[in-house]
Amino acid sequence: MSFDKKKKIKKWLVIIILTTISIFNLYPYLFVVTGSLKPSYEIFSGLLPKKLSSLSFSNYTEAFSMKQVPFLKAFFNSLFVTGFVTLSVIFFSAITGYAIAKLKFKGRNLLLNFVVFQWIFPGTGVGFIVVFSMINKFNLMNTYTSMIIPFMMTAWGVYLFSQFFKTIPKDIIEAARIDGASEFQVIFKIMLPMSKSVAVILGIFTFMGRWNELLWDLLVVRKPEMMTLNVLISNYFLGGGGKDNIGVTFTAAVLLTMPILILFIIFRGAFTEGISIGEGLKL
Amino acid sequence: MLKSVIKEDNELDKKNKKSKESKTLTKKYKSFKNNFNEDQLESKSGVKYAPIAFLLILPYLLWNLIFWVYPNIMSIPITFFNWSIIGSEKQFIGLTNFIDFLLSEEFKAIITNMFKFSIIYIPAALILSMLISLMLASVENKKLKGIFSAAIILPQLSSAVAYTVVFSKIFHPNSLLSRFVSFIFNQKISWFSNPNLVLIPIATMILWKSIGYYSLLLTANITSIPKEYHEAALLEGATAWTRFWKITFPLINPTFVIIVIFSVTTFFAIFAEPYMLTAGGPMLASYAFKLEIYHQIYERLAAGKGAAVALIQGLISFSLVMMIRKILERKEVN
Repeated sequence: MSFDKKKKIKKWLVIIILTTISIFNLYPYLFVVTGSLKPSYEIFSGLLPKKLSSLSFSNYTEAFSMKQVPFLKAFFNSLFVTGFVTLSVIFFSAITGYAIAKLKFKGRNLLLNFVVFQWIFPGTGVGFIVVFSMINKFNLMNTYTSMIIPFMMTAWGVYLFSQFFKTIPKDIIEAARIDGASEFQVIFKIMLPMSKSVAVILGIFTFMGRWNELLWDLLVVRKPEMMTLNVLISNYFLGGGGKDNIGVTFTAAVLLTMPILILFIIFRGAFTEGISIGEGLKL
Repeated sequence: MLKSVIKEDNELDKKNKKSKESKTLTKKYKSFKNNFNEDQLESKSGVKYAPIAFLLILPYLLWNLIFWVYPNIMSIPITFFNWSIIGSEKQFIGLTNFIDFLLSEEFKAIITNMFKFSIIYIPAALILSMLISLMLASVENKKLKGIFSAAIILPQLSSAVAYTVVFSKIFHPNSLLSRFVSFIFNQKISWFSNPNLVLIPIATMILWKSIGYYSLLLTANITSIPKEYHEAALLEGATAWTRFWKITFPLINPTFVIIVIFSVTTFFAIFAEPYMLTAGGPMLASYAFKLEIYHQIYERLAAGKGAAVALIQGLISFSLVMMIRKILERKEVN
C-alpha cells in the first residue's frame, strides 16, 4: 500500500511542477495582452490594473490610427508575403515531389540526390548576401517580390511530398488517367487531397518561418509602408516606442502573435505531428 | 499491346462518358494490367510522361539555379573583394576581409560571448528539457497531457520580435523580477546595461522560447519506448535512476544528439534579441555573428566583408556540429 501512496504523491508532484511550468510559459502572453489594454505608465503594476476602469482599447485605436507608423498596413504586408510564400512552397513542393515520386524521367535520381543534399547541407550561409546584391542590382528593393521570391521553394517540402506520394498506390493514378485526368488534375484533385496532413504540416512550418523572418526584411525594405510587421515593430521599438509608448508596442506585439496562435488552435494535431517529423528533417 | 488497350479504353471513354461505364472499364483495365509485369508498364508510361515531368520540375530547377546554386558558388569569390553593395566597382584584396575580421575586437567579443552564452544555455537547456519530457511522459491522463503539451509548446509559437518586446519589460530595472532580484542581492540590478549580466536575460529569453520544443521532441521518443522494458527492469529491482541511464537514455540518444546540436548552434542564430535590446552592447558584451553581418551589409554596405564574416560563422558552426556528432556517435558504438 505504501508503494501505491508513493506513486500517488509522485503523480501529484509531477502535475504541480508541470502546472508551474505552464504558468511560466503563459505569463509573457498574459503580460503582453494585459499590457496592451492598460495605460503605458501602469505597465509594472502587476498583471491587473489598479482600477478595472483603466482597462481600455485606447492603445489599439492609437496603434491603428498612427500615420507615420502604419501597423495595420504592415500586418497586411506580412500576411500577404507569408501567405504567398506558404502557398507557393506547397504548390511547387507538390508538383516537384510528384514528378520525383511517380514519373520516370532521365536524371530523376540525380534530382532526388540534389534535393536531399540541399536539405542536409544548409549552404555556405553567405548565399543570402549574393541574393541581396542581386535584388539591389535589379532595383527590387522595397517590393513584395524581394520578400517573396527568395523563400518560394524549399528542399524540405519537395522531400516530404516525394516521400509521401511514394506511398500512394499507382493504381489510383492510372485509374484517374484512364478517366481522362491530366497530370495537374492528378496532382491537385487526387494526390494533394490524400496528403492533407503533409500539406498542413509543411504549410504551418513555412508560415511560421516566413512570418518570423526579421533580418532579410530589414535588409530589403526601407519604406515604412512596405515594411512587414516584424520590421515595423522593431523600428518603432528602437525609435522610442519601447520607452514612452509601450502600450502601443505591446498592442503591435499582440497583433504579431495572433495569426500563429490562431493557426495553432486550428491545427494543434498537425503541430505536434510536425515536430516529430521535423526532427528527422534537419539532420 | 498495352498501348492499344489504353487507346481502346480512351476511345470507349470518349464514346460513352457515363462514369459507371468508365469505372467498369477501369476495373477491366486493372485486371488486365495485373497480367503484365510492372517494369514494362513503368518504362512505357515513363516515355509518355517524361515531358510532363520536366515541365513539373522546371520551376524548381530554375529557382535553385538562381537562388541557391549560383549564390552559394559566388559566396566564396566575393569574400576576396572589397565590394560595395551599391556601387559596381570591385577591388581584389585577397584575404584582407578575413584577416580584418579575425583580428578585430568584434571577433574576440563574439567568441567570448559564444562561450559565456553556451555555458549558461546548453546545460540549462539539456537538463530542463530532459526533466520536463520525463515528467510529461509520465502523465497518464490523456486530456491533461494534451493541455500540458500545448502549454509547453506555447513559447515556441511566439515571434522573436514580439517576445523581445515583452521580455524587455520583464527584465526592465523597475519590473517585478528585477525588484525581487535587487532585494535578494541588496543592490540595484540593471540587466541590459551591465556587461557582466547582459547575456543572462538573453539566454533566459531564448531558453523560455526553445525548451518546450526540445521537451516535446524528447517526449515523443520517450513515450514510444515499449513499457515491457521498464517492467522487466522493475522486476529485477532496478531503481528509477538506473532505469533512466540503462533504458531510456540509450534509446532516445539520437534525439538527444539532435537537441545538443540545436542548443550548440543556437548562438549562431541570435539576432533579434540583441539587435532590439542592446545593439550588441554594452561594450560588445552581447555582440553576435548576425549583428556583425548586419552591420557590415546594412550600415557599411560592405558585401565582401559581410560575406567573409558569414563564411567564418558557417565554418565554425559546421565544424562544431561535426565534432558533436563524432563524439556522441562514438559513444553509441561502445
